[in-house]
Amino acid sequence: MELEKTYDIGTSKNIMELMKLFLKANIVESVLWFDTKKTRFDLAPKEITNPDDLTQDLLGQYCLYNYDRLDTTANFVRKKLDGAKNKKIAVIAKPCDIRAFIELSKVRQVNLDNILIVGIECPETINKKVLIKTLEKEGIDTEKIVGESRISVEQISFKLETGNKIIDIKDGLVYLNCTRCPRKISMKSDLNIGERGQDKWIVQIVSEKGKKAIDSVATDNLISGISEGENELVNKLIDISQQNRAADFEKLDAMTNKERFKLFYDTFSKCRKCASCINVCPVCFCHDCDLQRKTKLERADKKAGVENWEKMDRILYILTKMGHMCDSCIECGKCSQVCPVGIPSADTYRYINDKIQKKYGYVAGNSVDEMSPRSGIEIKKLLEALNK
Amino acid sequence: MVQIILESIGISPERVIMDHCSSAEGAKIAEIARKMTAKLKELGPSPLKISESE
Repeated sequence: MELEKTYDIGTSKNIMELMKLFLKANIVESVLWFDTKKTRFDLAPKEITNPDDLTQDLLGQYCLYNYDRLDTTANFVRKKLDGAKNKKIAVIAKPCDIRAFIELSKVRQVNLDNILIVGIECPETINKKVLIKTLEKEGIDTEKIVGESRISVEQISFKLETGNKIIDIKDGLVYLNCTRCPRKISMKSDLNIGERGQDKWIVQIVSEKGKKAIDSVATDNLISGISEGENELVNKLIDISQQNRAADFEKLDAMTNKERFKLFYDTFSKCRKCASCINVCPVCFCHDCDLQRKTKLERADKKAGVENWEKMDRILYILTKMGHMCDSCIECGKCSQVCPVGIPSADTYRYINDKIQKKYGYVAGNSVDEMSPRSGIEIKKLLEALNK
Repeated sequence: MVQIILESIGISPERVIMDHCSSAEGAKIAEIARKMTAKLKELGPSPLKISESE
């Protein structure tokens, strides 16, 4: 196997077999696979340590937590698996999860040395609720779906036991944030997988670690040969995203301060301070969150004598979160997806990120060595002191 | 960084400044405070406050 080469691996089942080989050869102690309850839309991440338990072949372009899930790969590893500090784990991660891993490793919440990241070429995330409604309208039983793949920019094909069914992508089916994301293929992983054509998967060796892992297992039965070309569909989606993104920012830049404030106030004053966005955020990691101590905030506001403190508090809540997160937001869009009142906070974060990039040239989640212009110097100093 | 956030949500970034002076520079602190209050008076009440009272 050679570095930076792409190989054909056949169906998605072979990727599961590859994971099994990793487990058997003791390259990793556990694999973060997934578990399903009823339909393939109810996926949940699950840690598997015994190779015989790895039976559910559910991998699809979308089936990898790409339906709106609260527990992202990065969040699951940090919260439930103790940041992989003591054991080696193989995970399949979307590009935004990989960015989250990078951000978390900067603040020592996960140990990247112990994680074998298998990145996936991401064809955008689907809104589960809208999808199920659309499927029901078409008269398709969601329990009978066994596979799915995006076949073009406008269409997704669903594989049923009886044949294929093609669904058009209409507004709301794909999350807005994903149609603004230009980083759909990550080169910071160890291995990359992707679907090129229906159930034709490839594996790409990205890092030395990935090469070492794949070289030490016998993959002759799985890998058939070198695959040429790039993922044209995802590249096309990236182009569209970039255009969308630029158009959005242009619109916001053209606004005056007053108009922008009105937009911000109108969208964010609906906030109910439920902290969903904090819990779901893959890079929000404080164990003792300032924003979830309600009594403290109430008292502070009353004492400070702010009139109408209840409403004011919401804005302060948002602003505090923004102040904490703005330099580490990886644009996964989860905060917009989970918000019960539908505040598109990711849009604002995206705009702030763009400004930070223009001013400091820093992009969160791009590299382990790049430190944030705000807290990076302090973190570096701390680490140097720790290492002495 | 704070100024970037404020600008993105439409509050004029001049409302926040960051400066440093030592404990021996009393006059400088007073000067900065005077400048800042003058600027704030010029800018008027914050849009947050205006929206609350409406």
